[in-house]
Amino acid sequence: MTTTIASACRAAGLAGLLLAALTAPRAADAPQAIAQPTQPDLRADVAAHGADLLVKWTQDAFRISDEMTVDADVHRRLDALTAGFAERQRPAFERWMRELADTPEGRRDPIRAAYNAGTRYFVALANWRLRSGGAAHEALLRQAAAKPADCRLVDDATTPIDEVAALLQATPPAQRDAFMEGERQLLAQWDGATPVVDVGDEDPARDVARWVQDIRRGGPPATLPMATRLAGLVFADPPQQAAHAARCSARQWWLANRLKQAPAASEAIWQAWRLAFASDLMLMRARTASVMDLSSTEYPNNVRQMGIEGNVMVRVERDVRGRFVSGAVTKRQLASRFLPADMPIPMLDRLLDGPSLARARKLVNEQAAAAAPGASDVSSSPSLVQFSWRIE
Amino acid sequence: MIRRLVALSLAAGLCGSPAGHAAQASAVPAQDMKERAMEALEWGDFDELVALHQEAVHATVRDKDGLRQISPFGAGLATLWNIGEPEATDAYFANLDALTASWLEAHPRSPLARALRMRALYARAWWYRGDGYANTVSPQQFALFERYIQAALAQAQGEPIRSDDELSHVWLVMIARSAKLDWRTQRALAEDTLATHPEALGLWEELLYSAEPKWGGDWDLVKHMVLDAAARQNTPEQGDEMYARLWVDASFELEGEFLRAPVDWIRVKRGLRSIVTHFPHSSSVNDFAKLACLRQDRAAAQDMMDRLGDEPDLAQWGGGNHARSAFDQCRQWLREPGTMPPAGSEPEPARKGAAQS
Repeated sequence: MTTTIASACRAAGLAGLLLAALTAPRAADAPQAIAQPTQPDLRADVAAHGADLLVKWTQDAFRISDEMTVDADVHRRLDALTAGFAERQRPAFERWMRELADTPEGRRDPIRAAYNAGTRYFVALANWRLRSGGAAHEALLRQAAAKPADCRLVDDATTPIDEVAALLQATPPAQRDAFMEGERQLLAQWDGATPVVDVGDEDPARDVARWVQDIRRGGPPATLPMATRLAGLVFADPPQQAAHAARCSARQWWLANRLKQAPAASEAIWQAWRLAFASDLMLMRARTASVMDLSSTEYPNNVRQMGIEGNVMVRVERDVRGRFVSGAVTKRQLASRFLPADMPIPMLDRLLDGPSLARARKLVNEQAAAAAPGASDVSSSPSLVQFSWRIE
Repeated sequence: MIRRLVALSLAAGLCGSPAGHAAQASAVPAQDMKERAMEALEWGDFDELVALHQEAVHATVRDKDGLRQISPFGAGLATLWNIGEPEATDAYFANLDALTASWLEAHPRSPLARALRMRALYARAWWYRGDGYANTVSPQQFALFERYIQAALAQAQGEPIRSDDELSHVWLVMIARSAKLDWRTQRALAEDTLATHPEALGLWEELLYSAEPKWGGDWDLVKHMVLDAAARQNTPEQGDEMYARLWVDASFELEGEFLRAPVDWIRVKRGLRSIVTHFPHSSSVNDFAKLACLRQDRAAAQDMMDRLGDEPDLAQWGGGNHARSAFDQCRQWLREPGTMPPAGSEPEPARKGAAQS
């Protein structure tokens, strides 16, 4: 499966172009040379190849993996839905490439439009799952999302359509027509604007982290039990990295608990689930650590390659000795330098949640370690820490 | 050690049936049952567990070892009951306990929900107990062990278990043993199923385990129980296979003492020969080779080691480094010409009408 721009370029025979992009002088190093390109055909070539790449990535995204154990009916329905879809989007993809070439980065360095295409593709992918496919589809999604079979199947998922296949498989056959109608509506909106999703104060990642922390400390069980696979990962000593299917299970666990705790807030809870679903899809495609994995404080290469930069605000809770207890991202001011300035980057702005929380933990624990034992200046009250992520 | 043996017992043949060798089509391929059962429990999919359990109970197709599908079904679940580090923690077992409790609450009439609940309590009890010697267990750990074993027992006694529910009976015997109920009581509990399902290998294996000296029994008790199990099979061939499978199981405890155990080696060989003939890819080839070496039967050992080549299934040879060593020493012994006399048979008469090896 081609999930990185580099591998997709190789697959599309663009190795030469990509190599040129990687070895060409950077804009900051030689602005004059790049501001006035000497190869007038280059932009047109990149645009055409970018559209080719987008077609190919979209084809890949909508191909059910061989490993998925879904029934023939699910295969048939989704194959029929997505047949020829990527090719039909070519005019839109060509327009995307023109828009991307018209950004400041695109004008400075046309070859890097290959990267721009990748980032734009991720935005479309997130938007696809953030929209509503109608009331009937919503109801069926909610029903399927609560079934353990969904996450069991997601264990083998490698493409975005695999996730939909798992949900469809968890939908009773008699209701699959209605489900598919919703999916048709979602695809029809593929090239639309980013929807506004109001989740209120709901935050699955924050809640899951807190609940796990409480349980690990031996607190009374205030939550419903979780799937055994998830328990094995989050309660392990040390905690294990959560794979994609475990993130599905964590979402499911959060959903069940929140609906029980706050049934009146079910709409916001559901919207937050939808956001988490799209976010996990991004994490799978971008192969980036989730907030359940605080092992790396590094700026992920793939996030950097997508031109994503800006600020992330983290709310930190400390224990009485000032050490990190938990953290939650409260604000993201991130954008991609490769996209038009006013284009939101839904879900892509979550790709720095994990590294930001990891940095918060490291920072807070270093501060606590540096303070003298019993020092009065060690704060145990919650505080906000901002992290700045800048591409040099 | 205890849990390893319990796991081995389950993996080796939970209620496996040597009855008949014909295989019929099954909705779940034999090789998938263990993995699918494990996945269903991993992801908390109770509906799938119920469907797989039904499939396992009714399927006539057998796995590569010649065991019924209930065996890989139980083995798949056992991977999560017997989970090791780093996943095994207090919170993990508390969650498993709560998860199975929620299933029973949602499905109070489901025999499987009840069985899973009592098995989870048993798993939690042994998590506190650990598998070390008693002097390595703190009073607090012992108290928790007792508490959860008694809870498992109370769960089991809450409602009569159907006689054809082999899985529940296997787990019931495990719980009864841990609760220190005597062997006769355990035997009586098992008899509920064995009276109508004498082919329930996993149940015999649990009884055998309870009859071993470490649980207060002796090898004479084991010998008579194995003879009884074999005698209750439908055909002489099935009797020989049951006899062999149970002594294979006992060999994990006997190890070197197998040479002097009250076992009819000729009959064991006959049973194992029957199994590996019908199921040539069975792990019984390993069992046969291992037992032949323990029994110092050079001809049988050479025959089976030739079949194994360099690809032993080390799980059948013991635990950890010991398994590799046992296999290597067996091979080494065979290379040394005639240092040991071939073993004779013990004076256990073969049953009338039994096939001769």
